[in-house]
Amino acid sequence: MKGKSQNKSRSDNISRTEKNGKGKNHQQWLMELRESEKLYRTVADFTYDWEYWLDRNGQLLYVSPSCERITGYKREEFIKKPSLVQEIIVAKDKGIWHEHRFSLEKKIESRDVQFRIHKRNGQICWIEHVCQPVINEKGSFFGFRVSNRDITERKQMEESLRISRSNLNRAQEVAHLGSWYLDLIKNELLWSDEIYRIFGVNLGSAMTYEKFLEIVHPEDREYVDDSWKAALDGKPYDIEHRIIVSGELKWVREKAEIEFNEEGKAVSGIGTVQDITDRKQAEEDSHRLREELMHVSRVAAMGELTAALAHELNQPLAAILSNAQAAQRFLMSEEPDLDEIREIISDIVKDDKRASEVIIRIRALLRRSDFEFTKLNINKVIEEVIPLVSSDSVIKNIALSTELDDKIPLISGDRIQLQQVILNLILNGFEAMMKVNVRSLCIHTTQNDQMFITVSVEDSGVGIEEKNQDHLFKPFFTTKKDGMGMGLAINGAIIEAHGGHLWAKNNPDQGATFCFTLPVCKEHSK
Amino acid sequence: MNESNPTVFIVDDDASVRKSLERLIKSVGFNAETFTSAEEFLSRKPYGGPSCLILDVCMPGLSGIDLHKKLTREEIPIPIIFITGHGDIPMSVKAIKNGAVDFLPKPFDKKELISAINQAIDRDVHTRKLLIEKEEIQHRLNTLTPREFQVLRWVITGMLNKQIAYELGVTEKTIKVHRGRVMQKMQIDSVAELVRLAQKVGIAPPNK
Repeated sequence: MKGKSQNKSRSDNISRTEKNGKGKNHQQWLMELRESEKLYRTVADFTYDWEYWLDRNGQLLYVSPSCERITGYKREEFIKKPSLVQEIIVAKDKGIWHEHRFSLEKKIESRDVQFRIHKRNGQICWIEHVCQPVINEKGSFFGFRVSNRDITERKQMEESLRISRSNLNRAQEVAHLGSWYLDLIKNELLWSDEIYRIFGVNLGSAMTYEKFLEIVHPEDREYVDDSWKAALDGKPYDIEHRIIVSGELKWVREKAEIEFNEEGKAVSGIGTVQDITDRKQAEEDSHRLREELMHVSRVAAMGELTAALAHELNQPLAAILSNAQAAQRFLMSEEPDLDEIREIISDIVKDDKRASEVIIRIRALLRRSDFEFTKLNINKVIEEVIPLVSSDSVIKNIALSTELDDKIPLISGDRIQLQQVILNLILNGFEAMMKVNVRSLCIHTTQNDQMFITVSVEDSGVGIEEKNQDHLFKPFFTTKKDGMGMGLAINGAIIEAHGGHLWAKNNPDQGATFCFTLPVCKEHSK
Repeated sequence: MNESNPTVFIVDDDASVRKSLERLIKSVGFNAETFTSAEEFLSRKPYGGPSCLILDVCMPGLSGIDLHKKLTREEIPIPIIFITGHGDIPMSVKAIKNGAVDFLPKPFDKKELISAINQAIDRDVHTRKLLIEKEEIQHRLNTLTPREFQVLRWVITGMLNKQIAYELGVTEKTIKVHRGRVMQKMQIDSVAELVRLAQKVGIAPPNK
């Protein structure tokens, strides 16, 4: 098959062929035909894919040598045994082959299928099998020209792409986090499967920005839309908002980045949506729980205070009653001393106000409220607590004193919550001193630096046992017989919510000191 | 201040309570005097007339309870009415057992207070009367010789002169003379009267 003319240029061959029809002699014609056959045979033999020609009866007329490269079998083997093609197809894909053959018997047309074969060395190879009917100039069918292409690599890539897509999809499902792409020119919003799930929209439904907005909670729509418009102007887009999915409320967090073209026009956005409903729920629960615990601990602290507070009320009430009855006596005389009576009435008014102030203070302490941060002078906060415990300190024979830095800078905090902390620390101190003879408690305020102030409550009680040091601030830890173990844990939480820190230490001589820091109000940290 | 007029002393650390009580007590006709602390009251010179003390239980420094103990220890028998802002029942029971006239939880009504004051003053008048009587008996007792006092202690046991003479190892005649002098010095006529006087000043019969 190989001839000397193999290396001849193509233009030569063509020029000879053109001369072909113009009455050359037979010898010359045969030679030219042979040359031509050589040429096409060469073209066929050097084909990269595994090609063959099946005649109308299914006999192999031609097999390209590249079959060996793809299958490991030589072309002679295929020619000798045409069924070899079918035999090397992997068992699972034989059905594809049979169906393909059957359809070609019913209708002659160009068709392609994909299946796997066992190569001679046992490896598996993906084949793209294309059958092209061979029809001559007169329209007669001369069998099929078949191309088999090794597509193993492509298949592997497709598979790894599929795996990575499915992993991404599963990861998104696990994280409740979906991704999206918005083509701003076409207003085409592409969602990952997870977003469809989060938003409760049928998988694959065509989406637009407007359709997305419809799912957003009506109260949040304006906020989302404004944020998105700001993002288009170059602002960061990282928002949390609510959506309504089949009547149920969900919380999502959205983040996005915008792509701009050379003219600076926004062309597309890519972003994520995370379902944070559970986190929001947990946040709300823990917030409510903390509020409740704080309330409970305040009520508990009030219980301890009841005796002292009763005293605070009974004093003015006793004075009012005695004054009023003295006034009644004076009025019974023939010439009542009106000046005396006037003075009595003014004293009654004064004591009545004193009693109602006690009530207001108790009410304020018992009130359940959110944190209300205002600028505070911590000394004033402490001075308001002292009257609540001063009679308790008298009964318990405790010397209660304060050493307050009168140049202390203002802090930002919740007055009631801070009073609760101070009250609780004082009452703890009182309790710690019941078994000792020398009982003194002193509250100090000092400024540490530009940033922080410290409040310390120093007692002369039994101190903190070393084994308890680490557990002191843990919830439900208590050394008291009837304690709940929440006081210090809640105090710690309150102080931390103020940006400060609460700790305790034993004094060198006797007792313990509880200290907490609070950040100085920024405008005042000169 | 007229010391024959009953006086009410008020000790309370709360200025409002002090002032209002002073007014009320004066309005019903007693003298009233106020003190801000137990220590201040103790520094006052003793009062001669009938009086009582209105005492707050809880005060800085010496508490009302402490003052009561101190007065009892020093045999100053002023009747005490405790007042308190803490309605503490165990404390009130203890105070009454220790001799307080009354224990009034604040706020208290005028009627309760005046009734307690009247009771306290009555008790003080009575105590003072007893005290004067006792002083007089003591005064007479001081005129007895040691031997006469010894005989007195035997006489109040109800023994006959003969028996006493035997106990003391002297003659019956001697005892008769001593007994006569005792009755004369004590200004009484009967053994029964002697026994009553001895009881008032707490003279016990001799131990055998």
